[in-house]
Amino acid sequence: MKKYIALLCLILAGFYLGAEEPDFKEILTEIDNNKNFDDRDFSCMNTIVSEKPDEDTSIKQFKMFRRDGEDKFVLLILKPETEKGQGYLQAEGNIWFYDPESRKFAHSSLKENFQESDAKNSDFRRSSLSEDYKVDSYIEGKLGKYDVYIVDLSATNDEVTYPYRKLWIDKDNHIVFKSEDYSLTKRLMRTSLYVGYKKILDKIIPTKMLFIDELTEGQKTQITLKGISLADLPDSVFTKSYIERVNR
Amino acid sequence: MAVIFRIAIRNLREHKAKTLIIGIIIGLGIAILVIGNSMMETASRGIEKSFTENFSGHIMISGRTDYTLSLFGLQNPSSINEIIPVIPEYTRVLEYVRSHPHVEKVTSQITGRAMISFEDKGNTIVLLFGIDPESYRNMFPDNIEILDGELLKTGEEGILLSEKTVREIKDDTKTSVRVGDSIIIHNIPGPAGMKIREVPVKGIFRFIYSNEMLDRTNLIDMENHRVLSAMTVGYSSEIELDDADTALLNFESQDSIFEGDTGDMMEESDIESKTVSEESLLDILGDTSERTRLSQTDSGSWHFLLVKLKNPSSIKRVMSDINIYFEKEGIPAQTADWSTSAGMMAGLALSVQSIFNIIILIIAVVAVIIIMNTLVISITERTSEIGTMRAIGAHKGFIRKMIILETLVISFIFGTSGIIFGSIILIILNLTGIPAANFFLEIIFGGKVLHPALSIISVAQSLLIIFAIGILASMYPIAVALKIQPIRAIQKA
Repeated sequence: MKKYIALLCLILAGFYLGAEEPDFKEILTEIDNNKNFDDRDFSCMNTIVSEKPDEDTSIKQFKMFRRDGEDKFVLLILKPETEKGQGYLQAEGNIWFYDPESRKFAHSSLKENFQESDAKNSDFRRSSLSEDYKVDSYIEGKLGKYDVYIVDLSATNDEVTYPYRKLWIDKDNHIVFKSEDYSLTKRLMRTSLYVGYKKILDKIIPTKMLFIDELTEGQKTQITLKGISLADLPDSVFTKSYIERVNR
Repeated sequence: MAVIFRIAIRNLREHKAKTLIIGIIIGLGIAILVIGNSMMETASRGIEKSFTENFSGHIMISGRTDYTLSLFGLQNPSSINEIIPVIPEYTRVLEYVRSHPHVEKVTSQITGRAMISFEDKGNTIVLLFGIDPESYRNMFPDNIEILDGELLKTGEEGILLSEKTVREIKDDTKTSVRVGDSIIIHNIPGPAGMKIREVPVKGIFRFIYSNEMLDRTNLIDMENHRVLSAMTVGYSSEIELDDADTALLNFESQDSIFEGDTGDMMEESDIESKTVSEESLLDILGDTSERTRLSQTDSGSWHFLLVKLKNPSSIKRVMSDINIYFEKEGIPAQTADWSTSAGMMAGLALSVQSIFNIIILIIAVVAVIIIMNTLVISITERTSEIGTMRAIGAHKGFIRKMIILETLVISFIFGTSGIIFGSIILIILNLTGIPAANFFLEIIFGGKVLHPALSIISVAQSLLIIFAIGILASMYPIAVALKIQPIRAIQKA
C-alpha cells in the first residue's frame, strides 16, 4: 500500500513540476527580438488615421526609417501637403522635431504624442520590453479565440512612456495582441491592439495597430504599415542634416 | 392726525432712555447697511472696471461655439481638445462694430498655448496673446509695465515675456532669458501638425492690474501666433486610403477583432530589399510648392474682437445690436460680456463677492432682528399704559396709529443719523482707502485698494428696510397690548 502511495506522490510531484510558470523574462526578450532588426535597417510607409469626437478625421502618411542596432529612427511626413517634410529624428538619446517652414528643430520626447494622434513617439522605436519592464504577475485567459497570458508589468526605469502595462501575449507564438497602458497612479490611459502581423525573415512585426484613448471616449488611431523594406540605408539618413536637405 | 403725532412725540420724550436705546440700535443697523452695501457696490464696479479697462474690454466677439469661451481659451475641461474658432467674415464684423455709435475702441486678439523649448534642458508651457501692438496699447494703455526692453512695434516680429514666465523658465529649464535672445517656440500639435518659430525677445513686462491667469500671459506678434495656431490659407487632406487603413476604427468589441484564424492575423511579407541610394532618399518629398502656398498665414484670422464702449451701461444694448446683425447677415459669430470673456478669474471674483454679500446680508438680518426684539420689548412693557389709555376712551385704531407713528419717528430721526454716520465713515474710508491685505481680498475688492463711495441706492434701500422693519416689528406687540383688558392693565400698573 505504501508503495502505491509513494508512486502517487511521485506522479503528483511530476505534474506539479510540469506546471511551473513560464519564463516571462525569456518571453519578453523573444518579443523584443521578434520585433527588432538589430543587424539590418528597416523602412516602411505608415498611414495614420485618427478619429476624435466632433472633429474631422485626421489622415497622414509618413515614411519611417529605423536602425534598431543603434536605436535610431527618422519619421518623415509625406502627406498632407501642408505638413509635408515635417520630420522626427531619434538619435543619441534625443528626439528632435523639424518644421520645414521655419527650418528649425525643436526638442521633443518619446513620451509625447506623435502629431495629434494617440500614438506616442516611443511606439516607433525599437522594442525594449525586457529592458524596461519586469513582470509582477500573470494569469492565463482568452482574447477572442486565442489563449493568452495576461501579464502585469511595471517599469524598471522612469524613461518609459507608461510606468505600468498589462499585456495579452499569445501563448503559442509569444506575440503581443493587446496592451493596456497605465499612468503612475495606475489610471488606464490607452489601450493598444496589435491586430495584423507580418513574418519577415525570422521576425514577426505588427503591421496593423489600433490605439484607443481611454480618457476621451471615441478618440482612436489606426496605424497601418506598408511597403516594408530591409534595404540598407545610408548613415546620413539618421541625421538632422538629411531632414534639412530633403526639404530644400 | 396732528393730535396722534403730538402724543407720539410726547411719549418718546417721556421714555427717553428707551427711545435712545432703540434709536441707537436703528442708527447703527442702518449705518452697517449703508457702509456694507456701498462697499460691495464700489467693489462690484471695481471688478468690472479692473477687467474692462485692463484686458477684456466690455464685449468680446468670437466665432460661435457650443462651449464657454474666454480670452484665455476654452473654459470647460471637457472641451480641452476643441479648437477656438476664428471670427467668420472678420472684415465685415469689424466694420459694423466700429460704426456702432456706442463703440469707443476695438482691438483683436489670438489666444493659444505653446511651448518654449530649450533643447534637452526642457520646455515651459506658456499662454500667448497674439496682438496688434498699436490697437492693443490704445485699448489698454495703462496696464503694461515694461521691466526691460520695449513694447512691440506694429509689424515687428517678437515676443514680450511676462515676468512670471521668465521665472518659470528659470525654474523649469535653469535658463535665464534676456531681452535680445531668440527663443524657440512650438505649438502643441494640432490639425496642422507641429509648428516651430524662432522669435526674438523684445521685452519683459508685467500687467499692472493682473491675476493668476494674466500673470502667465505673454504677448506675441500676430503673424507668429497665426503660424503656431495654424491659421493658414488652406488645408489639404486629399489622401487616398484603402479600406484596410480604417478597418479597425469601427470595431464592435476588442474580443471580436481576435476571433479570426491565426492566418488572418499573420501574413508572409514580400520584402523590398533593393539598395536605396542617397539621391532617391533626398527626392522623397517631390514638389513642395503646394505646401508653401497653403502654409501662408491668413491675415484676416483672429479669435477675438474686443470692444470698449463709450458708456459701460450700454453693454446689453450693444450686444443685442451686434447679435441681431449676426443673425441678419447669417454670420456664425457670438458676443459675450466682460464677465465671461475675462474667464475664470472674473467668475471667481463675482462668486467670492456674492459670498461676501451674503455675509453682509446676514449681519443686516441680525441687526434687524435685534431692532425688532428691542421694539417688541419696549411696547410690551407699555401694556399697562396702553390699557389705561384705552380705559379713558382711546380706540384700538388710535393706539395702533400712535405706536406706528412713534416707531416711524424714531426710524426717521435715528435712521437719518445712521446714514450721516455711515456716510462720514465712508468718506474717511474713501480718503484713506482699505488696502487688500491678501489675494483673497484683492479679488473681493477688484484691486489692491478699495475706496468705497456712498451709494444712493444703498441709502434708499436701507431707509426702506428700516421703515418696513419698524412697522412690522410694531405689529405683534401692538396686537398683544390691545388684547389685554383695560381694567387688568390698570390693575397691573
